[in-house]
Amino acid sequence: MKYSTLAIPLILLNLILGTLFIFQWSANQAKLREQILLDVQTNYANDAALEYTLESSTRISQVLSEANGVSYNTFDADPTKAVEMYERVLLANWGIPYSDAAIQDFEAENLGMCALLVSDGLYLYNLQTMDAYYYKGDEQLHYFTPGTVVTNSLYEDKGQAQIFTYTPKLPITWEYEDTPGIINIGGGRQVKDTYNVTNNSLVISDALSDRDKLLNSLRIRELINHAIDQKVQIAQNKSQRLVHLANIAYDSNEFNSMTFISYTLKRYSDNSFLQSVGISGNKLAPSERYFIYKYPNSEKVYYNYQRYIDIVNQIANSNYGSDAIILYKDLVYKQLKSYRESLNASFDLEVTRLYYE
Amino acid sequence: MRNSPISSVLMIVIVILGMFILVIMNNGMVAIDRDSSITLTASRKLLDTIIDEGEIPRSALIDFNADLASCAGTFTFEIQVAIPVLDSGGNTIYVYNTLDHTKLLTSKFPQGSIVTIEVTQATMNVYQRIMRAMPGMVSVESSCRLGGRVR
Repeated sequence: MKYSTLAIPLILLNLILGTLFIFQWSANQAKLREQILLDVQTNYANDAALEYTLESSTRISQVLSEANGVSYNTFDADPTKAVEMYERVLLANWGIPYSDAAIQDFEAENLGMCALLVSDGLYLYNLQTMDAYYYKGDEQLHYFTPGTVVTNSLYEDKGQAQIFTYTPKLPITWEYEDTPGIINIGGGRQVKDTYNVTNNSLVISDALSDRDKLLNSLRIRELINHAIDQKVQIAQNKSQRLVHLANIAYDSNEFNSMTFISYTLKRYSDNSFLQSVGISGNKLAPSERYFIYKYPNSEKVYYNYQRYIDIVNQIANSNYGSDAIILYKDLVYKQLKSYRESLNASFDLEVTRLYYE
Repeated sequence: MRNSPISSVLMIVIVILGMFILVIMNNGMVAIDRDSSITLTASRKLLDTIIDEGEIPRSALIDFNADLASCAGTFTFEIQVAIPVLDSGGNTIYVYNTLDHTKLLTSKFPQGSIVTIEVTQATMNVYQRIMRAMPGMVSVESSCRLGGRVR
């Protein structure tokens, strides 16, 4: 009798704890799913931003037409286009129609900062303190860098305001043996074009290549973390985890070509913020070229990489005593695909596999 | 106490809670987790294909439908597209459209189009109904929405 009296409250307690555990687990899982979804969405928006920046570069066609490789320093990058496309795709991911009002809400609530890294510096799009002036000409607020002297009487001083805006290109600088330098991170891991500011002569060469990681993790991290801190202070949600998140992202990536970084917050239903850091990089490389050919007395059509053309000719010589008939050469993959679709049914396009001993 | 009606009712409640409700909730939660994972992975696969190809290949659509069919719940999907066009002033504007399911395979998406896949859960299992009925609980759904830009 006594035992059964004790058993009932114990079982009840067990059930209550079990129920609470399931509710808590459920809430955690739901939050985790939202976090994963946000990371994936941010990733798509990042990729879109970088691709759009590259495609809209006015000098990209010149770069791609160069026969001997690609130089990272010969095309331009417009950070406004990157941010616009980032916001457009992310809003599409969230099911919000793109409009000026939606962008204002998004930037006030969700956007931490965006950064576009190019070969010789980075642009930041973040919350900045600016001097606001009301212009009587167009009856709108205009913003100036703090300290700007405005003498025009049509401008009326409205004090300072926090707005999202772009920084000028911030050069990536560092010091080597007490010599200040500006670094160009374009063209791969090797740091090139580093020069002494005072006399414009090259002073540092191979010693720097081991230091590019250090460069990435100091100056860029410092600038971006500062931008994030500004936003977080405004949101009154300062947390060490933000900086920690950003540091993980920077440590696992090397900024050696054009890179777009974004930091996004999303309010969750328990009133906390989900955070996502997105990084997209690109590496321009010449397209892989193909050629299409067939052997004598055979209707079967093959294709292979352009770099194997000599080997294919050798095989044809050894087997048939003459060169293989090359129908088309120097095609990129999309041309190859359309050529395959245009072939008659009797023509069968196959890739030849080459083996090396 | 053993024979009192109160203890009998209490025991019945405990048995129902312990043997049915909690088990159902646990199973439902696992099913939701699995469904979420499947829908997200399937949507990513389809979206990546669309981004690369600029169209929806038949094989990709078959895979996507098969993935959704393997979920415990019932799901529907919708594909929306925003196509960039130049207006008379030379500015880029986006034309939004929701694709008819009969035209999925024939639609072409030009470079720069923003394609969005929205997967919505059409049914709710017991666990979701319980969670929805309880005040203060997080609404649990496996729906997802992903969008990307065609290369």
